[in-house]
Amino acid sequence: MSDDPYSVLGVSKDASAAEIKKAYRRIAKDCHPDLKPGDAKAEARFKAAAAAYDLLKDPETRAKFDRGEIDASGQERPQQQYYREYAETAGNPYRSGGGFQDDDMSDIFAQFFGNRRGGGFGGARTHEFHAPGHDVNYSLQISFLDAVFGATQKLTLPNGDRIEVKIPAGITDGQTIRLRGKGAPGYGEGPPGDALVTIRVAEHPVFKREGDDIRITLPITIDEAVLGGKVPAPTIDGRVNVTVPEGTSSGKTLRLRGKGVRKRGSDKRGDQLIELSVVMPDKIDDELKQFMQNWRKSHSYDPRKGMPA
Amino acid sequence: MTRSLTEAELIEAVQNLTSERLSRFLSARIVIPRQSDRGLVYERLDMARLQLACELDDQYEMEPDALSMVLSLIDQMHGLRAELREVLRAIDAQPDPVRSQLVERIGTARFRRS
Repeated sequence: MSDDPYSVLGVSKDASAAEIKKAYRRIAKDCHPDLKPGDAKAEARFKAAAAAYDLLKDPETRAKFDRGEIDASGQERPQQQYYREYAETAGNPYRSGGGFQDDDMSDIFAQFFGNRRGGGFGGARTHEFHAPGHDVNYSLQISFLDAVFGATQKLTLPNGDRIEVKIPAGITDGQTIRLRGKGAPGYGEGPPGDALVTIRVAEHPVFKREGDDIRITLPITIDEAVLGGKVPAPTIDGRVNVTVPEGTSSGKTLRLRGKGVRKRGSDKRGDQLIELSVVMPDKIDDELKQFMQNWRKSHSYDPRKGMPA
Repeated sequence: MTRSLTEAELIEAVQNLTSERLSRFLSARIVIPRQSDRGLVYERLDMARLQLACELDDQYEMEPDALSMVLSLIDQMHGLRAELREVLRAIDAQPDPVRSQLVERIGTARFRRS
């Protein structure tokens, strides 16, 4: 690309970052090859705009370009595979639309072939009709810890077959797994469809997922909060002792590295976050009350200073 | 057919795809991996689809569910294009009189004003 990136995007040299982004978005919307398949002119325009945007979106490279330290060449994006190269193929599993569950073919030809299958259409030549079977949706609820560590679950299909669903460690609520050939039977000699199993992860009373991290709220006593010390805490691997620092307030969060959920495509794990919460004893006895009354006389402090009145 | 990809290979192969982003896309059913002996695997098609999802996400900062809806519209468009292509191929294979009749019919319907 040798053109001036500003003119490629149709913005002035002093355009703000927001203007540049807006200009790029507009061109991407009109010209992205996956949104405008088969339009070579649009594709060329998109490629030029993407290269120009790559150069200008980073303030540092933009400044370098403005100072003439780099030119606009060498900004071509690496050869990428566009979705449209696959999207129209007969084997595209997303084309039939996961949303359709009914018995109709989600095809605009459903009626045409349907009639034909019934033998009514034309009459003279009756070809047998072949098509892959539908995908069938299932939902599978698993426990929080099964989602964290992975598990194998059995799913019983309407026809009585039992299939094994292998849940990988770290799966998130709503993820769907494709089991090839376990869907509805095909038409004619067509292959069967797939079973699409959506995983629902039950909530846990103590552990909460935040991406790859796990968060818990850990109650501590007032003496632990004042004096600090070792306090036992649950993790997904079992109990550990954490150190509560002297003078801890509610809301302070400790981080246990590597005690979270396995990250996708890696052996690393997230962290466990422990939010401490100071809990009063069930009953405030006279001893505590008297101590606090005396203490207050000579040790007053204002945790709310700086707040608006 | 080319080999399918593991999750680690997929994250490596798709520009700007991170482990967290993939999790969000999976929860919105933007791609559906397949169960295999090697664990969950992804096809080349999934890879290209995720590349598009990342680009749209970068450009428009969409909610994963909105992104999923946009992709489903794109799928429908591609599906209709493929089906239309089949129809045109079938028309093309017809004898001349049938073909010209069809062309005339379709042409009239297309440019007719209501």
